[in-house]
Amino acid sequence: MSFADELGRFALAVRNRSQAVFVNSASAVKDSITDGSPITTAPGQPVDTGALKASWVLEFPEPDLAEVSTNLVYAPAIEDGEGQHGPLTLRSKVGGFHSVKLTALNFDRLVEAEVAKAAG
Amino acid sequence: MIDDDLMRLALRNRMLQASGLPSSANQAFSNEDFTPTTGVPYIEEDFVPAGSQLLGFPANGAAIEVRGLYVIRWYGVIKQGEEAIRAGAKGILAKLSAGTVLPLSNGDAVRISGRPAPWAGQVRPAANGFAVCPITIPYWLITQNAVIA
Repeated sequence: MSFADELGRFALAVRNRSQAVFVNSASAVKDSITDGSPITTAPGQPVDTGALKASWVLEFPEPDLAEVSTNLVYAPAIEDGEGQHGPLTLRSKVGGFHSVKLTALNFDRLVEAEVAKAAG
Repeated sequence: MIDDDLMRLALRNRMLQASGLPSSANQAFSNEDFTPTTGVPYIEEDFVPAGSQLLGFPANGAAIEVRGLYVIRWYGVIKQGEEAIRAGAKGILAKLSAGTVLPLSNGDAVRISGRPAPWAGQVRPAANGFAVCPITIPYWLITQNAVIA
């Protein structure tokens, strides 16, 4: 195999690993928001009927763009823990507040973990 | 060593210096009993530690980075516009702006993050005649880890 061939193989391997880190990091972001994560310390979504947790979706609108979103109108109120001295009573044994913010705050640690996995 | 209580109190005491806060009777602190009064603005506090990470080796004596969020929810009266709520949020953000350093009595210092920097979110309708604006203050601190035998 020529040096050029080896460089080509190396470039392909880097591209594949980068893609894996990108996709797996995006997936880890969604999991952190919905189920919580020891890396980000996000608690995940509280669960009553399960509608909120199930509403979060991960999409790739472009090859290098990932989006995690929910269309539930009350999701921001749960995220921000609104009404703790008002009508809100957290009855769920799982989940909590601020999962999106915590995931964003510790996003670099999530990616670090995925890079370490990809490196083997 | 990591002392969440010192951090929490430092952030709270700094926040309490902000201009235009609701009176002390209308400040709801973390895990304390409070009942809002209809038509009277109030604030709620959340202290949210976000984990730590060793930065050195060996573990005993190594630097350890701590991160977290200090969240204030400002409740204003619904359908009265955003100005009063935004003025309150602005006052808190001015006191806890990115780069602010809060010394602790144990020699450490809590620092307000710049990436991400503090922000005030959307003013949204809340229950019981209120509209709420969440104000998020990311913070970090580097201290010395201790492994106790």
